[in-house]
Amino acid sequence: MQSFKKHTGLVVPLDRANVDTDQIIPKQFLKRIERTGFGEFLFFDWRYLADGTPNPDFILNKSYYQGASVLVAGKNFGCGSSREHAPWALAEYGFRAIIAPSFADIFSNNCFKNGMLPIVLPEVVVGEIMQRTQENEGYKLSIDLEALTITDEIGLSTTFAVSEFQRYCLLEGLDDIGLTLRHEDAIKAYEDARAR
Amino acid sequence: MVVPVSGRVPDPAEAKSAADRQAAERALEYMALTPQTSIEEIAINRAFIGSCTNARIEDLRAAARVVKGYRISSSVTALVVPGSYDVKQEAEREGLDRIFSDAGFEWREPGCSMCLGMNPDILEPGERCASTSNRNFEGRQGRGGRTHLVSPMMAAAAAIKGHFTDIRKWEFK
Repeated sequence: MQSFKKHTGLVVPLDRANVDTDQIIPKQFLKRIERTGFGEFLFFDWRYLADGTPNPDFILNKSYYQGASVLVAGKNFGCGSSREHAPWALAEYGFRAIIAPSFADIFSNNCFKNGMLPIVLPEVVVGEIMQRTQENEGYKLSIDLEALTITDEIGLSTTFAVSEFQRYCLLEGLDDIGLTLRHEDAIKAYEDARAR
Repeated sequence: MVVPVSGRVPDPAEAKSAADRQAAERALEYMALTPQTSIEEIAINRAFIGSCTNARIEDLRAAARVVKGYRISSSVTALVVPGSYDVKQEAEREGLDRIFSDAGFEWREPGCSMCLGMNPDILEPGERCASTSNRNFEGRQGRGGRTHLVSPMMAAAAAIKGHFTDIRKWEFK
């Protein structure tokens, strides 16, 4: 799993609350056996018009937000179905971190296990960041998971909190499989002893 | 939004915050509902009794009690999808499948069906469905589909009447 230590990236504001995983990755795409291939379908019903062409009004399609790697959104981001395809789609599209006043629980855990950092900030700070993004073309944020700080180039500086274990795993690039494989020698010794 | 069948479509103007009002306005726009409309006046095109949530044998028995002796409204297409093969077999042993099909419901093989529109059981844009599934996010049952989540008995009654109706006042046959 990709680790997350520090990241500086272009920010895009998705000024909607209660963004559910059916919007993040609609059900008709949940048919692959790989974790890849979902990025092109991210926010499908918002990104594309009924005829399949890009919706020029959707924020992610604006030319000045191409290459964005930090998503800022409203409260309760990732609610609804627990589909892990949601963080897979977001990560493949290019997002490394998501900032919101709150996240749905399962979605948040899924992010940590897929190398993405979900950051909870107070609603008023999220609002401030969204405003700065809209007022400053090319607005970037620098996120430091070791120091637990977020800064921009025009004076914003704030801290955030992450549970100690989740922070450790993300810094080290460990998902549940990675954690288990740290005991690979012991596992192999056990299997050898049990072999017939 | 959760509303009793005896109630009315909420008015976004009464929302507690600007964000809630915006969300409520969007919801009513997507669902093509007008504030203060009586729920029992809302007509449906489809009824779906199924999904892991609400297709146990007890659910099918309850819905069959409502359906027995009636036929579905001519303006409604309705499906019953048992939650598993065991449930389907038990339902057929008890004759529930005959009750549903005599009433005009399609009796189906177990599967996800219209719970999440990943297969041909899908709503056309604008169609309104009384559904016993667990989520009604925009587009869940098909792009532009309008999903109302109700219990199996309420879905059965709505299929018969062609609009939502209070199951507590139902005349069982």
